[in-house]
Amino acid sequence: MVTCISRVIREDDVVAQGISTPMVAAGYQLAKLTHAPNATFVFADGNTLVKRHAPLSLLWIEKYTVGDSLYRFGFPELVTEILSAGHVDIEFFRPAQIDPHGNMNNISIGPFEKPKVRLPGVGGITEAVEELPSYCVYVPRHDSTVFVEKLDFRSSTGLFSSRRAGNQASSRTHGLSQVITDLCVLELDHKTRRLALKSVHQNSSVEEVRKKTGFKLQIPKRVPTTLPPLKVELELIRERIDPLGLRKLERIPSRQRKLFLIEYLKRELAAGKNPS
Amino acid sequence: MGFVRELIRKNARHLDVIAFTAGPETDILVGAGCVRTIRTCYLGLGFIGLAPASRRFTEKGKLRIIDETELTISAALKAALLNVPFLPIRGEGFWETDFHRVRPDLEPFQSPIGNEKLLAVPRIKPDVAVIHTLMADDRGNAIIEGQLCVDKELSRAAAYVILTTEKIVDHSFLAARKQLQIFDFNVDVVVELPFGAHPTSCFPEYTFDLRHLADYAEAGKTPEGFDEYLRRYVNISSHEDYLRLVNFSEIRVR
Repeated sequence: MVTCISRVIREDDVVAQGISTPMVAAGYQLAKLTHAPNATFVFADGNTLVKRHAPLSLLWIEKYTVGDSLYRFGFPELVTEILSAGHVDIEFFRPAQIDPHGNMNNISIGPFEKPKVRLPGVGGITEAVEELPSYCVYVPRHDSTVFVEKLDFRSSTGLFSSRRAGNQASSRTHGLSQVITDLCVLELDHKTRRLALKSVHQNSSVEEVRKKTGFKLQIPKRVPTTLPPLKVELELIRERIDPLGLRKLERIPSRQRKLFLIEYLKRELAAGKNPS
Repeated sequence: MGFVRELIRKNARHLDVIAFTAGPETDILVGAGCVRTIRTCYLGLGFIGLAPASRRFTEKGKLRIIDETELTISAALKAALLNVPFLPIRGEGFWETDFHRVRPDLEPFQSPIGNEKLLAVPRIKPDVAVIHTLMADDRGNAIIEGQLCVDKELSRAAAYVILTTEKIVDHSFLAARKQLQIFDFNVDVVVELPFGAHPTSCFPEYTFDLRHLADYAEAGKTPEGFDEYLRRYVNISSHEDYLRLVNFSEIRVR
């Protein structure tokens, strides 16, 4: 998944990262160390602009996001003058639920007034999906509780047809481009406005994707295999970007989270020196 | 966090909490029964997981969450600073969502200039803001070296501003840094509170206490676990006693 995320980033992109997304962080660092050395990072954790590379860290996260920053914004300045002003090229979001049209739910599972699970909330997703020229979604554990026919709460929209103020002549369809999961890559078909299977990973199958998706996916006659990670990319991830495995936090079930974190803490304390 | 623990000891009730991102400081107030509503765009413990007490209370219908977005809170604070009843945002991201069901106060309207459909975001003017800083002088000039979030805006918009600080220093020491974030004329009270952000971080002095927060996330899942946490870390006589319970070797990591 990390390599799929990395491949979306283009050289010179201004890339935004939301709150607590280590898998995305790994993808961004891989892009910076390979095909996008001039990418600019804009971090919610830190409210900062950073161009340097650093390995992932939990304890030292602020040493990188704040300490290595070229500019400290504060949220209102970042949100109004960089995001709303249209200077960010790409961002990745993780939904609790996503429907066939790419609409997402980050508010609650079950009824809003008395939810079964109260989720953290949207952060900046509701406006970002309209402000960005396009955006991506990632789902570390592809299953039918995430890919649902109908959302319990619609907190953001998949596709937009809008006229930009001051540019009345042009309108565009923009919004969700890719959904990257642990099984496959999906894309939003702008004509049918439905999610379609773009490629299936080497370790999975069309059948598994179909089974684990809670709605009917558009599936082409021939589904290519996702380009696997290169050995070079894996080496970069395991040795330079995330040797302690923080990105794996996004794939473990919540009941194992505490154990993972304590083990991870011991590893980071033992590693001893500041990685950046 | 130090302030919040004292607030719990003082038995604060019916608080309407505004937090741009609401973390342990908000969750512990919820669990202690101090909170009526939370207004926020993100409620959780970040890498650690969901906010346990807030989850419990909301899922039982005992807590009302007013869902914001990064943009709506930013616009609402700016409206307070500009002294206008609302600020417009483009709002296109909101039109086809369920936000109108839970935020009827966000009003669509036709722009008087240019005729576009816009979304009016009502102003938020906090009654009290509590801000933790790295260093401050005794008048309230202060420096923050970590994430700024909405601290500057809060200090300028809120009616009453309480500053806690790792260390009170001489004004000339602050002035030499040439980078104040908070000004004395915006501040009402300054309190020296070393390690006052624990178990969260205060960059560059200390990082967050991962072990403590992981324990809290677990304890907070049940009323019994939460009460035990309160007994251990809050229902003690002072901030100094609290600091005796802190493992500094896991947070003073340079």
